[in-house]
Amino acid sequence: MKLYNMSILDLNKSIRNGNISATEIANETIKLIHNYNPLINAWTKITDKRMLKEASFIDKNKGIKLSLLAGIPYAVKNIFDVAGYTTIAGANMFSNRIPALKDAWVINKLCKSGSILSGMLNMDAYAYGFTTENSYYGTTRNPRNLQYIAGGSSGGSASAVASGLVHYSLGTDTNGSVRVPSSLCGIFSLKPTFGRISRNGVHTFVPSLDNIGFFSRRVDDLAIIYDYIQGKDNKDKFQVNCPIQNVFSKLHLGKNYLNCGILSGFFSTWCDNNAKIATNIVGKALQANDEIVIEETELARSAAYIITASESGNQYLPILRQTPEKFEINSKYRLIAGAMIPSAWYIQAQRFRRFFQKKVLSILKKIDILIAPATPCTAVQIGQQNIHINNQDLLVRSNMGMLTQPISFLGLPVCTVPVMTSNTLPIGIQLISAPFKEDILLYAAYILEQQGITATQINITDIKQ
Amino acid sequence: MVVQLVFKTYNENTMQNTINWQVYILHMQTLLNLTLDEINYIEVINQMEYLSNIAKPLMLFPIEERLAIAGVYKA
Repeated sequence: MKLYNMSILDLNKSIRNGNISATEIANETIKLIHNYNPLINAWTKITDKRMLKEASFIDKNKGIKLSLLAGIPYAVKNIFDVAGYTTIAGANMFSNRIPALKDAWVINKLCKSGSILSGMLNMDAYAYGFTTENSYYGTTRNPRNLQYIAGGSSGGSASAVASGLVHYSLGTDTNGSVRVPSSLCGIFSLKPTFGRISRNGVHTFVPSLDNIGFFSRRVDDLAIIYDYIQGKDNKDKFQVNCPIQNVFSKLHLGKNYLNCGILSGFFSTWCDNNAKIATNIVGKALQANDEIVIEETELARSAAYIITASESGNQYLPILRQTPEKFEINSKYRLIAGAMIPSAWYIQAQRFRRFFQKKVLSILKKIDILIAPATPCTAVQIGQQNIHINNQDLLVRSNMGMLTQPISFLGLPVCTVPVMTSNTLPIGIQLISAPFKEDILLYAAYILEQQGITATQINITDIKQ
Repeated sequence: MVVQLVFKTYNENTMQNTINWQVYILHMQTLLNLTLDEINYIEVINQMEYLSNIAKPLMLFPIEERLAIAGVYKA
């Protein structure tokens, strides 16, 4: 039984029918991770004992009604608190901190649903970057081609799922840190509406923009995970009081016609031909008739950049004072400069954010889904410094997220779907909706998957060595 | 000492890169109680110049007087 060719639903059925036990799944997953992680460098910690304990609990309680996630293996970016382990947020300087006393709220939800945690995953230090070329924990490799980056900052989370070693993973997305790696690794992801999912127990980067997101290999799986991680957490003051939206049970029912439009202007200027072709394929499949240009998109990116620099700089100011030498060189100067930003720039950026939200929400009253590439191009080689887009050389590390940044700045939900390109690498296309319309995004992604538009998933035996 | 404040309209000239970032960073370093060595200093100047180029068009964008900062959406 090849575990990762099976959907969450099928694997869960096999457990219920007694064809496989959760302990067998855990043992097989642990074996595969130990065998293949050295190739992709996605896991920074494998939680063997916890996984076996959680699996054993499922097997001992089979008489009780199991949830759809019972016995399903997953992993999380090492920015989430996991009880008994230190939350390192990709930074070696945190490695000596005391272990977390309890799981992050969202991991606690997954634990209660019976899902089994395989470990923690690599990321860009402090979540500041789009490549997961981590100077201490090493570079995470893209399972589609091991010479290429997985993207970041949740690169370990994307690589773990794209390689087929776990069914799903959690990441965080501030400016594109879920959507960029899902694009480069060719898997599905969902970044829900800002404020939808509790961030309690997640290491802070930019509180005004941080979102939890997740990755999977199928749209069905994405919908099931979304159903289970919703819920009210009184301790997260940023969370919106929003009723739980059960998406999975309605995913296959069909809906009325979706009115879709392709984002042009900034989004078509700053991407290559592969990205344009993939966007048009998705647009055609979803019968997108309109091309929409939002004039201030470039400013939105600038404002997101200012907010990110300022809040993260302030976040790390105490440590920058005490032990500046411990910071990763790629981020240190950005953080110091960010801490020094004049308040007028920051407040202007936050007020512009409101202006831009109002403007885009008025568009989303007429259009259900906006379509745009998630990255300017497909994955680049490890160590490559620049990408050549729109006749300009741009730094990979800061520009791979240039098309995701203006959207997360708005706090809108985004489902990223993978499409193959002619260079044998996939690229992700962002499906964007009004707040709390995650259901229509997943439905649109489901249509694309059913039509065979989305990229075929690879599994561990496909990895080129 | 009487300090005379001269209020200027924010315009393109205000944000020209003629600002002496070295002096600004020196003051901010003291204000924030940071210690920067020479390499740090040069790199931070580069970053500040980059940020200032990004901030320039943003600061020129006219925003309605009563527009507050963004919060979370209401479901």
